Amino acid sequence: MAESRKIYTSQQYYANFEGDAGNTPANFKGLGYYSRTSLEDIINNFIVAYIGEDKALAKVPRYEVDFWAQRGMQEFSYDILHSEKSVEIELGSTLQFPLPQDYVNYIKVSQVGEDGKKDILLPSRKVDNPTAPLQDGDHNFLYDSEGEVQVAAKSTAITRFQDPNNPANRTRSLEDNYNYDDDDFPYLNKRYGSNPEDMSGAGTFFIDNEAGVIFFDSTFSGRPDNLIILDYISDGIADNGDLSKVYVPKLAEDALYAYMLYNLSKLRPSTVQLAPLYKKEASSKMRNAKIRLSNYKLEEMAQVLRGKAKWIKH
Amino acid sequence: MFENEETISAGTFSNAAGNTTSSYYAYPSNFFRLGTVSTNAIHASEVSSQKILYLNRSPLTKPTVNNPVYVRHEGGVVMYPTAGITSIDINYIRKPAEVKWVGGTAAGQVVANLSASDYQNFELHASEEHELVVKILSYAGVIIRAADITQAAAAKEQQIIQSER
Repeated sequence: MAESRKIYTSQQYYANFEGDAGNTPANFKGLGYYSRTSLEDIINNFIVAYIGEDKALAKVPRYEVDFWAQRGMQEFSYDILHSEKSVEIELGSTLQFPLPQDYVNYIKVSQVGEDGKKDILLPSRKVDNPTAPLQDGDHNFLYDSEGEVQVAAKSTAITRFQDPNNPANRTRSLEDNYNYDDDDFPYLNKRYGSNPEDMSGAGTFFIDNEAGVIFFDSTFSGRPDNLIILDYISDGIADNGDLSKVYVPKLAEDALYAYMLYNLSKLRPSTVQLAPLYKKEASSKMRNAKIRLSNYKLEEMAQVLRGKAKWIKH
Repeated sequence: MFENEETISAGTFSNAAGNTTSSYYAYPSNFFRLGTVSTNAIHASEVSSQKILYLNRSPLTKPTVNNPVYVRHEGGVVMYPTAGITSIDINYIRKPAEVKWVGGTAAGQVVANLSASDYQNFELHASEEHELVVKILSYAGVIIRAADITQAAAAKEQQIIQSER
């Protein structure tokens, strides 16, 4: 059923929030449902409005419309829709956790501060988790019974990255830096030419996409409150078994129709001549959708710019 | 005039070689031509037996209960997905019912017994009555071996065809 109208009474709509199970509708679509529409509705609307005799597309099988609707949903999820997902995970002593099942790419990784706000963490670009073949005392590879090279569960590189007892990972305290009596500390050699990227005391992380694991450095070891938030994007169709539960913001609905029309028309000899026109339309509507969903508010922007205008006294 | 709908339950189809096809829905006995197929008020698209192999392997196009497809199979259709669907609704053109003029003759005329339980009249539009009568006349001439009747019927048929142009 189309969602372009209110489908609940006010009492039904607020019942779930108010804990009124008796009046909560079955399959309640959730608060704020009116801002989005389902992919199922979009596909049905598209078939009605665009496909048929004397229409933009004469005959297109439903599964092809489904395909391009889902491809559109994937592309829109990557750079138009604000459909970020977020998980809060308490970091264990292994200093690593698996990526979510529907993970495609990360937006940011942050640690939860005592005030509940997010402290952004930056990735370490100089770390890798290479495949590490097992070697014997003569540095020859070790093989399993099937003749394949045996590999270590974790590379030495990432082990050293996470080892809190590794002297190279020790964080210098302020007192260390300014203790002129301690001649063992080579501050005179190391402070000059140091790279700010490597000096963050907040800690860094490394994502091994092949293994599907995110590793954190030894800075996190022993911290009392290691709450990590991973903000990531998915492709929006992880649950595509039922397209009525895949939602698209209404602000991007028209852009998705245009995207589907362009891609379906470019494949057909009878409509390929119009494809460039549809391409322009799709491009401009996608841009419009992106601007709409960027959610710029004049007052918020003015507030940010006010902050920029402050004199920085030092 | 002959559009029809029917709900069909799932069954299986076995061929002479002993192969069994599940998720099979047999056409009704009066079936003539298939229109649309749906399940739970969701339209099912027709695909070829080759296409379904590709559709099933693609994560974005794999048929679901909410997006079913069907493949024509001898005397019926096979629905995909094969699980989760138990009945389908088909819209089809049916064959006209077999004519049964039960009765006898009265004053040398064949008279139908309209009140007989198995009485069945011709299921044709009234505008086709003339053509039907001429056809009957033609075949009657053949049966009683009266060439002049058959010829008269053929001439009348030509006249009808001419008048329709």
